[in-house]
Amino acid sequence: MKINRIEIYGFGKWNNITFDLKQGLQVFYGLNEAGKSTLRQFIYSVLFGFATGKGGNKYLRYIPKKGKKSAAYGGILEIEYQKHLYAVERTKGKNGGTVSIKNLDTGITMPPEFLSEILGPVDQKTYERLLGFNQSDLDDFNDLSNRDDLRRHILRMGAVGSDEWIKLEQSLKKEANEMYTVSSRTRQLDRKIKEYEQAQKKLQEDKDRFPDYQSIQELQKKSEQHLKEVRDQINILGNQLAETTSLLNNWDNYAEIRQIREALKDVPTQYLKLDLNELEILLNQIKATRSEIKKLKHELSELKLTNEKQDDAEKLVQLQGRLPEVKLNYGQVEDLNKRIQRLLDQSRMIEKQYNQDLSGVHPMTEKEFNEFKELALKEKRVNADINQIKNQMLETAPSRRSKASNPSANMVLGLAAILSIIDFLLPLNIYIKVVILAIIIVAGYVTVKAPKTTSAPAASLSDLLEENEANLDKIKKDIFSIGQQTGFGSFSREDWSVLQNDLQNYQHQLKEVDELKQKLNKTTTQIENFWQFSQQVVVMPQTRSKEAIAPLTNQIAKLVQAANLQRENVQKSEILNKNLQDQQVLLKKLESDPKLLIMSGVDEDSDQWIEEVRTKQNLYLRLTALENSLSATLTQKLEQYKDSAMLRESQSSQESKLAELKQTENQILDERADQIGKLSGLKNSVDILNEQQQLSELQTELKELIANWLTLQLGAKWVDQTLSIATKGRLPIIMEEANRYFNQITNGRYSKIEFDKDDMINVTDKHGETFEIAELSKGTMEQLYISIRFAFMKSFSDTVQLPIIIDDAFVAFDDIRIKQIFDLLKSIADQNQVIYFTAKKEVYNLTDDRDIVDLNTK
Amino acid sequence: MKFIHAADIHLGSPFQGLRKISNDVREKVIASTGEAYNKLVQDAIDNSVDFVCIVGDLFDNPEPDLETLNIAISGMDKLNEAGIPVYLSYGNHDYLNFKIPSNIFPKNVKIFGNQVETKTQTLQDGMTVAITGFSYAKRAEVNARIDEYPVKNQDVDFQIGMLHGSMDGINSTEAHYAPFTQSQLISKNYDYWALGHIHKRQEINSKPIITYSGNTQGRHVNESGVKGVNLVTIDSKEKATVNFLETDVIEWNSIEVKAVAGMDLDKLIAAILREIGDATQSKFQLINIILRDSNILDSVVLDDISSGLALMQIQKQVDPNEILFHRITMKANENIQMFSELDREFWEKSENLVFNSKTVQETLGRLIELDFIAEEYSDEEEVALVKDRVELMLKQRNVLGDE
Ligand SMILES: [Mn+2]
Repeated sequence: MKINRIEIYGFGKWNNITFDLKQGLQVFYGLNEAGKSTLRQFIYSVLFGFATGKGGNKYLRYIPKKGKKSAAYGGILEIEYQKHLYAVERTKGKNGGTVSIKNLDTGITMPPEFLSEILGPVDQKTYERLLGFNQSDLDDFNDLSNRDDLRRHILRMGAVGSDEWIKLEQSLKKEANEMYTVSSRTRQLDRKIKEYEQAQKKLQEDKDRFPDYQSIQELQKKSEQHLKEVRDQINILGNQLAETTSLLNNWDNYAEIRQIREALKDVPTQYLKLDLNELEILLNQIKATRSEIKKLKHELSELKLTNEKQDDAEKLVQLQGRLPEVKLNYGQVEDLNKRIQRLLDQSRMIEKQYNQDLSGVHPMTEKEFNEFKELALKEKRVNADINQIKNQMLETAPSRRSKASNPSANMVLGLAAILSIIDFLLPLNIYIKVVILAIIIVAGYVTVKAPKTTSAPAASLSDLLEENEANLDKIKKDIFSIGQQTGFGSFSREDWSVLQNDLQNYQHQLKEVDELKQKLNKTTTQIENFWQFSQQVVVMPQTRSKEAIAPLTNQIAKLVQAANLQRENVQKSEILNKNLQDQQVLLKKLESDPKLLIMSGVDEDSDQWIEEVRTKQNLYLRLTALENSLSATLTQKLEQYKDSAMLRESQSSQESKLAELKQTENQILDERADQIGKLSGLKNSVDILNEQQQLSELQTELKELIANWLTLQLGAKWVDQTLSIATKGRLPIIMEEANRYFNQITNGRYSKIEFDKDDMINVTDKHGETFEIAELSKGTMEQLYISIRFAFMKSFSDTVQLPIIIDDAFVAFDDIRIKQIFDLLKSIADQNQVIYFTAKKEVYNLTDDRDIVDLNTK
Repeated sequence: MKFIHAADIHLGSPFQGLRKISNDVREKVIASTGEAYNKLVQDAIDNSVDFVCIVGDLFDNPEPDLETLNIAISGMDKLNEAGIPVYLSYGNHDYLNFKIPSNIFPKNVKIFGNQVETKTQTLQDGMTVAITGFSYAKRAEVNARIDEYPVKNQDVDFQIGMLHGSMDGINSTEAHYAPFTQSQLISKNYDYWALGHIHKRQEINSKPIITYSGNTQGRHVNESGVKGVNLVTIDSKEKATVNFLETDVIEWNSIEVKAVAGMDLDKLIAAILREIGDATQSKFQLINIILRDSNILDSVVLDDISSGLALMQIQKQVDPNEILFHRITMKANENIQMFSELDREFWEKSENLVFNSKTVQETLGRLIELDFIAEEYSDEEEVALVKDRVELMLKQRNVLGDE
């Protein structure tokens, strides 16, 4: 396959540009940054696909910058393949871009797989390694200072990418050696091994530190046995000591029992069984009764009794009862005297009025007085008639008459009124008074009416006068006789009515005085009686008067009180006497109680006796309690000892023996704890299983390290073997070509290269002399390397028909050598296109203008 | 008749293949073999078995430490109290020696001597059982001790063989452990063969049952899955049934995840967690992540895995009391092209020259003096893993030309 033309749409710095290529050697000349690498990458990219964006290949994508006329990504390689022309176009697309292949002869579009056919069994990397040649390959070779390494390198050139493989092999070896070498002692793996061996050793040592199971067991058994023996002894002795201690604890009781028994030796049993409380109650009763009797007697003696009689006391009370009456009587007497005095004063007043002793004058009887009043009334009427007649006779006019008659009538009526008033003052029967009044009123009325009807003629007047005057005389005589008869005659007739009344009052007052005087007498008599009775009862005061009553009352009150007291005392003494009698009966009964028989008698010493017996009884109780608290066996054991000191001695000897045993026990326990402690300390500080596990983990680490180391080592070995085998396999095929190339670039100085069985390389010069490769100059070795390298490339031309791409190699060659190389390349290019990228002016100068593209000018 | 067949209890054994684990996990690990043993004891009591057979390797070490001895003794004491006899033979790990004195155990423990012997027991129903076995006297037993086992005694109802050993051919160079063949065992006419030594539980024959009960607690990545003991019931017709009883407290397990091109670390972790699921585990899980096709991964991801970062990140996603991811085992896929097609034949040719145990051991040089290294790389499987590692390492170094 040859590339005839490169057409770039857009790839890195290249835009819409076309390069026409020679089918033989094509040189691209350009200074740095001129676009050589871009162009070379374009060829790779069209053939194998655009670089992906991943990893370190990013910068090989050369996607054109946007904006700048924005050329399409990719382009076309026009190629000649099996005598046909094809345009292989790669543009932007998935998985390395879209490929389209067109047969330029027929215009037929080929399937994309056609590209694989063209490329054969190589990928880009293989292609680069196989048919690429650059300065670094030469540099790597030249870096090998050791001739032997150079030889080895040549012997391994027969594989694709040998140089890189050789580099890898070297780095793997180096890396492995950094971990470990046969002779190293301090590298990573060595250190780990040491660590492992130390851990292993420590584990063994730690294991050895443990006693074996059986000896531990035996030791434990032995100490267990000893411990058991000692503990048995401790048990026995402990029991003994406990008994001794118990005896000692009971010793005091035991001693007390003995003491009490001694104290009660002579005490009668009945004393110990006596019910003292009962007896004490009885004694107390007796004592109480006796003191009661004494007290009663004393109280009786204290009572003061007088021999006053009972009836005197009664009279006193009677007298006291009459005191209010006599007080009243004295009041009555005073009152009566006052009333009598007042009545006498009134009657003297009346006498004084008449200036005459009225005791001989008696009031008229009622009949007499009525007669008088009737006569007096008649007199007035007759006088009035006489006066009227006399007037009529003088004046004879009816009118005068009537006039005259009126005063007379009025007089009658006025008199009647006065009379009636007086009348009613008189102590007369009410009927009589009414009659009198009626009479007066009728008489008055008649007097008034009469003249009207009796208006007799004048002739009869004188007769009438005479008749009336006669009448008047008779009346005057009658009145006078009444005055004579009654004694009123010595008083003026006008006073008779008043007198009648005064006399009546006078008489009445006198009568009342008489009555009051009688009452006074009676009261006085009563007072007299009181005093006489009083005289019989009490010592009388000197004066018997009203004033003597108050002190008398006091005196009587005191006497009554005294009498009452006397009576109460009598009653009290009666009760006391009764109680006394009862108590004496009781005492007698108590004193005869048979319980008292045990005693000599009840007296002041009785209490003391009781107390003594009680003390004995308490002792006896204590004894019983003590005896109960001590078992028979204990007592028996105690009896073996004379005193407590003996017991104490025995106790202390047991104690010290026990302490010794306990010490032994502790010793055994300590020893055992020590053993266990040692063992468990060992167990705590040394964890065999853990160490063992960690050792195993260390082993794993070591295994892994060794595996890594081994991987590196074997990897290097594998590469080495493969290169060696490949080179050996391919050498026979390339030898003819290699010889030719070597001959050509050495200007015929060397003619033949040979590899012997021992991997030695010999070259023969034109004189037939043979040299071992190590004898060659460095430059000759380089020429040899290049010859073999190109021969190797050539050998693949059947399977890989792609251009050889040289990237600025041979920079260190002088002009002669470069010329030789170029001659060789030209001859190779006859069959296999060679594309040569260079920045060297020398190369530029060497080359035909026709074969060169100056990128600097593009 | 009912009994428990247990073997390879390996009391006091550390776990292999863990590194820099937390103290918590280490405590669990250290206690695990003892706990498994205690479970077996409890199982025996709970099931009222007639006896217990322990077919070798009760202890991991012929010189067990005190703690381990105490665990063993207290378990036996419990069985003694329950009146359960224990038939105990020692294996290659705990061969008869004075560091395991026989008198440490209570009287219910019947220990076999180095000579093959038969012990008999009369069961509660009056039937009799004969138990035949022997103990190792040293670290290995090259003799085919099976020859010394008698054929079944016709006077007993049942006969059981206890044998700690491997079924390697008698002439095999590996036959260090009382080698026997299947037909040799069958020829003895026993009712049950209780085998020990192989830690993977497996039944070799069904009539009569010849079986390895496996160990009681897995202790490294190759002892994965559930571990336990056999509860064996043999009826009067001499028909045996086996019930497996789990005894382990920590389980080794692996999960497989297939790498996919372009997977980043997050996606890888997600894939791993998907595989784990979110079911809570009844036992503490020690998980090995097997990453298939890991050579398809980008070198960045491979870096994260080899640096330990990936493991750390995954561990963060789970309850540390339930799961410990102890390693990521990377496996390469041969079909994924790693080298230039042009050179393929040469890579393959040289691969065979490099990745074989001889070259590996040569390369290891004096490192092989470390016993565990010698042991590890005597294993062809491990050598194959080394090749995968190398491939991945090369891939990681980005020299194989995909970019
Ligand atoms: Mn085992």
